[in-house]
Amino acid sequence: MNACMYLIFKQWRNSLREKIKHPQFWLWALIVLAYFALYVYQEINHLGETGILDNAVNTYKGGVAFAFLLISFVILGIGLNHGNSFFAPADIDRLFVSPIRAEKVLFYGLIRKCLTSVLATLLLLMQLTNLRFYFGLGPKDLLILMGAWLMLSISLSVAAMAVYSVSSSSRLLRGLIRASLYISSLVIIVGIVIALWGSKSPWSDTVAFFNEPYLHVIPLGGWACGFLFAAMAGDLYWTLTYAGLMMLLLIISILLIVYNKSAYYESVLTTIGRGFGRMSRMEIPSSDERSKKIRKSHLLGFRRGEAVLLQRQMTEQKRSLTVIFDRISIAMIAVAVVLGAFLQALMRKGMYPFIMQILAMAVLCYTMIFTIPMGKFVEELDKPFIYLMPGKAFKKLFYAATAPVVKAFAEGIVCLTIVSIFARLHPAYVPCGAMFYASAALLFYACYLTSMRTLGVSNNRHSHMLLSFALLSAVFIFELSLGAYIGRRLYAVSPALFPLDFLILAVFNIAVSVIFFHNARSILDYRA
Amino acid sequence: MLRAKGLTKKFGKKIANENVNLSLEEGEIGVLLGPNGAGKSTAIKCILGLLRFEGSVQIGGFPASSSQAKKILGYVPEFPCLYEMLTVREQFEFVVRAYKLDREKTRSYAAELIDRFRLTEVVDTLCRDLSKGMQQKVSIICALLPRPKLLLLDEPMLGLDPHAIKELRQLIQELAEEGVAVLVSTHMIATVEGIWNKAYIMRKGKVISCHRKEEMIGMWAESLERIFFAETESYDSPWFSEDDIRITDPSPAPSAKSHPAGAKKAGASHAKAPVTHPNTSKKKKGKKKK
Repeated sequence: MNACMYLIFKQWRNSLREKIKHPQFWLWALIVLAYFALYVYQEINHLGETGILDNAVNTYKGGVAFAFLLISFVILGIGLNHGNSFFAPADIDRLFVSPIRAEKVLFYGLIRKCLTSVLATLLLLMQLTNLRFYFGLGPKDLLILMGAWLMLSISLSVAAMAVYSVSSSSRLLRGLIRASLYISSLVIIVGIVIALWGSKSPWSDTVAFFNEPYLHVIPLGGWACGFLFAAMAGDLYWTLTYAGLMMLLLIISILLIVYNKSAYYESVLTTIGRGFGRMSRMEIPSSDERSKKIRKSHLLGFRRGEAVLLQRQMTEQKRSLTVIFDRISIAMIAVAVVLGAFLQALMRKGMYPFIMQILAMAVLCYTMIFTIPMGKFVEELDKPFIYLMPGKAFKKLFYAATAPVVKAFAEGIVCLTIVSIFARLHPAYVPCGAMFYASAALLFYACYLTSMRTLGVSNNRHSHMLLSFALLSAVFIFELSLGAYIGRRLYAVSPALFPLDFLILAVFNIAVSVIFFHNARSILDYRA
Repeated sequence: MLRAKGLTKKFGKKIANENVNLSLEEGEIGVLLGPNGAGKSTAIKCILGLLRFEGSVQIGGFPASSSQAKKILGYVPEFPCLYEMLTVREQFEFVVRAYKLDREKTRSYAAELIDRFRLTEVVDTLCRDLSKGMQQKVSIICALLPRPKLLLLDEPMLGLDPHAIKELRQLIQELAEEGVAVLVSTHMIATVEGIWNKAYIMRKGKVISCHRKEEMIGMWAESLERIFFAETESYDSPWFSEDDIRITDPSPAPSAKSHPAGAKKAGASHAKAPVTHPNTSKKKKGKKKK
């Protein structure tokens, strides 16, 4: 076994040995096994049965095209921004300086990365019978799907590394690649909006859009779709063409990675931390310029006490992009545009405005909760400052979690304005809905804190997320019935009063959050 | 063994290293000194081939990034970065495989080093469960196992207990006697006092002076600490100019002009600065007059 394989195998074996010592692992294993048993049991009981949907083939193709395109944009984006994550910090000091050939080192990084897509493949395997049941796919189609997925996942991992590697030597190049990714995504979003504009059947029009053959010109995601569609239609020429394109890109990517290895190493070293990153970003402004910049932010030295935690986060946020918005906000705005177009199509079909208001809020909140930046809050709890500074624990926790809530409020205003314009919703929906949207973010933080209080701060982050999702769902289920009760009464008085329902629910969310924050304040005692 | 010529490293607009010239022969112990942010670690990273740079670095006659150079190079990083999910023994096994070493010979050498650094009780412990000092010891052993001909140590004493520091000093001396060239970057000057042969003092990315031990014997500035403070303080003085950079190394940098005028320009406050070898000083003064 060579050194890299030895490293992968031993690390994997040791981490498994460590994991099985914890009951959490066994609990997870039990859940997965139970799911698998249920899955097999259902399959045996319903063998040969089908419940094929209307327009099944096109819906399947559209769904696969959407998933492939989304996955390819996300993975290339991650590769571009976090390509250093292919290696661990120890790799720099141990592997990069050893006499192992660069190709082998990069291959090792690739295997490490590919291991994460194994989980996605397992999830896909679990869905094969559903695909057969609802879409009437035969063994050949399922085989084609698995083949397309494997080709796509391998090519994407290599391409993500190549993109990072090529752009390591030049910030301009990285910016251009990033811009091209954003522009391609924007083109697709605009395409969906145009397809939905004035549409009377939004679902089938969306499906038709993702079945368009011109999407197949998009590298990787589009090519994988082209391969899948052509193989399903039995078109050997185009099947081989798309497979060949993917293989060609794979080979070019490998060559680019090897060619740019020194740039890649440097980029990994500078971005992975340990001081070098600061140097690479340093613009060395004069002290006058710096103080002017700090004053201009209106954030440093503006507040005192526990509020400095919020100030610091806002200042950091400002220096990374803007005071309030981040990259996720751009994605949220894109979601709002597509959602608005979809709701407009539903409006033309005569859907009630209050249902559209609830639908828009549900989609936006659900997306926001999955993309909420929890990292900074967790980082704050890792630093000693929050424990050592004088002040009330409740206030400290509250201010540490406020920056993303402020962001959520601003984001909510923008997104709901877009949705309201498209679907012609009542203007009061925007401020009331934004309040609810922001309060949902606060509630999620409160649930996360409660999870930390229950499981212990040092517990696994995934366990915290899981418990906080469970808590949030419990609160939301109660809130749903409360909202329905209040909403019905408000709607009976006047349909224009319905948005007030969101305001009342926002107050409810804040109240629950305060209770959760108060309950979790003792987590700051333990690590002091 | 090590020849770095005109090594320049820029991070965007920031110049981390400018025209750095370093050379070490077999059996020499070089010390890289300088205040925080002087560019010592960056220079070491360039020598290791981890950063792109302008200039040339040769290790044993091979380019720094070549695998031949890497085979004869040992490196102890500033922070002990080990594979957390490997045990100490597995960490050594990885080095054996990566450098394709003879297993039997390396095993006995590893046992000797483990014994010297008192790690016998933790060989089967995961590295993440070790203290920082112990991790540093493991990191040092990993660097020594391939029996390198050039050893680069970036702050190797950080986190080590007094016994381990003593052991490392002794080990460095033994390695030098065996012909290994050692370059140590450190702030803990006292720990390398008495074992160094050549000292490079860096400031703001440049090597502002280089001294050989034998040239300093009998002079007031024989102590490395005195040399360091004299050099860095004189560099900070408002009278110091680029012309004051002096290299007493046999292979001087093409652009690094030698010193002498510093004392003249400096006046009273700068007077304590000159610590160069008298012979070289005279030569340079002569040049200046011409």
